[in-house]
Amino acid sequence: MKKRQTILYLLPAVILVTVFFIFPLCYLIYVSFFQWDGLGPKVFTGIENFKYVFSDAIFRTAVKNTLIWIGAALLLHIPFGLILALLLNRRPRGWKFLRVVYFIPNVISTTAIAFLWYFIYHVDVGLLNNFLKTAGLKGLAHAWLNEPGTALPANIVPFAMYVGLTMVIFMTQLSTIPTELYEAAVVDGASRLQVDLEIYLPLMKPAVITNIMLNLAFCLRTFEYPFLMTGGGPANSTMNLSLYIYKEMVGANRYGVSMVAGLVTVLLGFVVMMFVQILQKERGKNDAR
Amino acid sequence: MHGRKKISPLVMVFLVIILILMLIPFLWLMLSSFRPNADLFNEPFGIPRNLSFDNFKEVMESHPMLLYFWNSVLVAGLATIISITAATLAAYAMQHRFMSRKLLAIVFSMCLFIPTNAFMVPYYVIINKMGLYDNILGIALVYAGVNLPMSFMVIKGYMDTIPKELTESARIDGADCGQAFRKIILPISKPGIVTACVFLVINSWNELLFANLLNQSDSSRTVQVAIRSFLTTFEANYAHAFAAMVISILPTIIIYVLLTDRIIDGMTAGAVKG
Amino acid sequence: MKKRVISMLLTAAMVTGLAAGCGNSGGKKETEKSESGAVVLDMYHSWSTDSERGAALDKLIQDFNKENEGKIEVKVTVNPDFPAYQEKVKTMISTDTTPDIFHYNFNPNDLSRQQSGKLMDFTDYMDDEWKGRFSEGDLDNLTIDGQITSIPFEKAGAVIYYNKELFEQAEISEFPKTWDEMLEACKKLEAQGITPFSLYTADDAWYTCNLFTYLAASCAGVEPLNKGGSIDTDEMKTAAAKLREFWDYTTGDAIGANYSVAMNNFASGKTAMTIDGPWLIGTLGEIQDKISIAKAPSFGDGKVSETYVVTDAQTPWAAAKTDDKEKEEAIVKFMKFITSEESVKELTLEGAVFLSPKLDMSDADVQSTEGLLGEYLDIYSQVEDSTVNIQRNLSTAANSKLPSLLESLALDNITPDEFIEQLESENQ
Repeated sequence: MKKRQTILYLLPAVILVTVFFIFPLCYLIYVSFFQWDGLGPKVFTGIENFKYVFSDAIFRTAVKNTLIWIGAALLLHIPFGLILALLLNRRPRGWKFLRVVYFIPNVISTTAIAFLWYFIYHVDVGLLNNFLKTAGLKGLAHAWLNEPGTALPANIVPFAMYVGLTMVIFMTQLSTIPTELYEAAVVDGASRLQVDLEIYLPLMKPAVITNIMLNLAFCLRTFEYPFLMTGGGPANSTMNLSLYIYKEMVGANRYGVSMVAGLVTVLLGFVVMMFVQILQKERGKNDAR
Repeated sequence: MHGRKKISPLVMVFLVIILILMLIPFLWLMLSSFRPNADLFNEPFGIPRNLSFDNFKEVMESHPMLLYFWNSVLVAGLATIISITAATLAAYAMQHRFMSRKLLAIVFSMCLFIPTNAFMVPYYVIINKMGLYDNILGIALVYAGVNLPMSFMVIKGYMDTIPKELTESARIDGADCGQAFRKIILPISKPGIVTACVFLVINSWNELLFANLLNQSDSSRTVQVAIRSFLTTFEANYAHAFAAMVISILPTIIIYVLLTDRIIDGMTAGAVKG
Repeated sequence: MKKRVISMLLTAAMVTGLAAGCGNSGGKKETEKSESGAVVLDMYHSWSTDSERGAALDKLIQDFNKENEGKIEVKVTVNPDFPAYQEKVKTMISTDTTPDIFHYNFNPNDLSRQQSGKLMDFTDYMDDEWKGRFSEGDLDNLTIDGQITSIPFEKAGAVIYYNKELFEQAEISEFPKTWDEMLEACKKLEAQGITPFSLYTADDAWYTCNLFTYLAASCAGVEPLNKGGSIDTDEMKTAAAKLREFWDYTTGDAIGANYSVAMNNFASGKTAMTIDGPWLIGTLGEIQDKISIAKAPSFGDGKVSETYVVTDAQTPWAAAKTDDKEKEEAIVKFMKFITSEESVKELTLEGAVFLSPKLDMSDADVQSTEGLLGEYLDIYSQVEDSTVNIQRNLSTAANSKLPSLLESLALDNITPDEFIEQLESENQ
């Protein structure tokens, strides 16, 4: 392949990456030192924006909530996805149908799911409260999204619906495990549960890493749930990083502050990447043994 | 093939409960979208009566839903074409040796880990400078860019599995690089490319943040932005909101039912590579 | 096959071209002309045609278009979500896609729009006749750096609407004259299972801020409020504490609710009171007969006159700066039309809006107006004191923090004193 040709083939992708990744990153760093309302001129203020962001209690809540999101996602999805995958891997009647249905939420927009749950939680017309009332548990009915104690969990629960993706990734990994392993174990008189725990589980590490990465990436991106369901409230109890960036930009017109928060998010992404790299290296070591 | 062993009823019950939990919200949504607003308020849990298509009719009449639909289709289509073209060409180039190949591969994979939500302001500024604010092409470009690393990884991953002998044999037959690309690599890579396309279309159809940020008028409003505005405008007509939501999710569900395996492949391939 | 590759490459070339063309295409808009050669004016506003005021405005615009057929054509885009609308307008100014005609909430502490240099200056067109349509104060307020970039238009009073039927149910014969009586009334209503107030905290938390401003005006009088300056005063803290007391008498969904939810609570008879502008009248529907308008209570200490009113921000019209004289004149023609005596009368009587340009109160049609609008106009003709809703003078940053601060106050996460202090610190 000639050099000129190579460049030509690479050009579109390189331009897109430059315009949508490299330039934005530089711009982010640059403007974070300025005070800017989006309309007027940019005023250089040094590290004022950083000072503001790091002393802002709301920003700390945003970081804390993003971390809670990540923790909850991992605790919800990894075990649940794994259990479902192992169970479906036993090929019960209708497992294909179940797989299709479990996966459905992944093709539906987060907007629709967030709204759907907004209505499920609704004080008056909501499915949840009305179910509780009908079941004679009126005392348990809440204004789920309006109370600081329940708002964040209520924000995270709909995310559990995406467990289908985690499950399918586990299933893909399971399908690569040779059946001989299973058959040999059965001959040895192992129960199904033993096979799952002792043979399959240890071989699932690559899929676990993939799923961890995926959930981490999703949580750093989460915007729709707090934005649509609670607007970050009540009293910022559901604020997260994406929404903080958005609100500082569109609501408060403090573009510089918004940029600093963006920078922190990008850094968090890099930390996540390093973390995953270490996990993967660990895996390589184990494999070599 | 795995042996079909007896499944304990307990497991079956568990799986069915999960199934019901997954489906109930959607069934409730579908049912509610056929009920009048007053019923939703007065007896939300009551036996559904007065079912009708009125909500759908009213929503379609009072809002240009078809236009929003068309906008969403255009955005998803443009984003997919742009991103996949760039990714395929680049993935092919990466099959050849050149100086900065390693560096480029690292840059592309690093981009995968950047939470692009952090780039709200830069994207907004870039699109404005291009004069593409409130323009379908502007939104599509952002999607194409944001999803490029992912499409690139998926397609490259697929091309990497193509034996080198195939391309080399083509070279010996006298085909130049372009021809080898068109005649051999492209047809073989089709499954990988289709997978990436599915991933892009679904992502683009469902995105809200940037579509909202870069939109101002009806001319570039996507379905997701439109349903968002249902809750915030003056009338709190929940029945209409339900109908609009059903309208917005129906196409993806239909496509999903038709192309289940392809889509599951596409979403997981994107995810696994990511 | 070949074709497909070519089309792929073309797309790639297009992307390249777009990226390379970055910055070249963002310049000034050219004057758009319709097929008939008329000057096209793009108008952007928030009055949905489903509402009475929107319908009235729409009718006037159509009249204008008909009158100027072949010369001027006003094309309208409506975004009824007012908080979102305001954000969009700012965006459009910053991206050089400023609408030819638009309205916005004037805020003396946020002059970013006026100082952007992208708004048209009406100074040269402001002849004595046109000037006479406005009160001097309004025009003075909108004159920034010697330029009149905005034409005074809407300045609605937010008054207390109450549901007579619900008050009767709670055996309250007379609307409370003091805030202490109001508290008693709230208790009586609550005892009957009726929620007294419609309040909300999302977006601009406008209902809540109306109540807060009424309380603040009662504590401090309107003078200090109108003077501006720091809001960190003892009176404001007292007002915030009172607001907290009244918060116990609102709906369960008030935290996080937006305008439409809170308004619906009142319109569906779930709550007994709300503080809203005249446009509420048009959206009340069947329930209208049960609703009445009351004078706001005071603390009975004479700090504020008997009839005082909290108004919303001045919401003027503004226009995009243009080099095209023809277009400029077309814009002025429309502005003069929309602020004319005829238009103002029609908008007030048909659209139930209250405007800055003068309305002849002695006009027979105005005097004979009945129903809620009649009550509204009646109160307005007696007004002695008025002040602008506090939030309308807060900085953008303070406004964006207002919902979460109000929620924290309601949830007792912060004390009323802290509420005021934190609001002031964001207002710097």
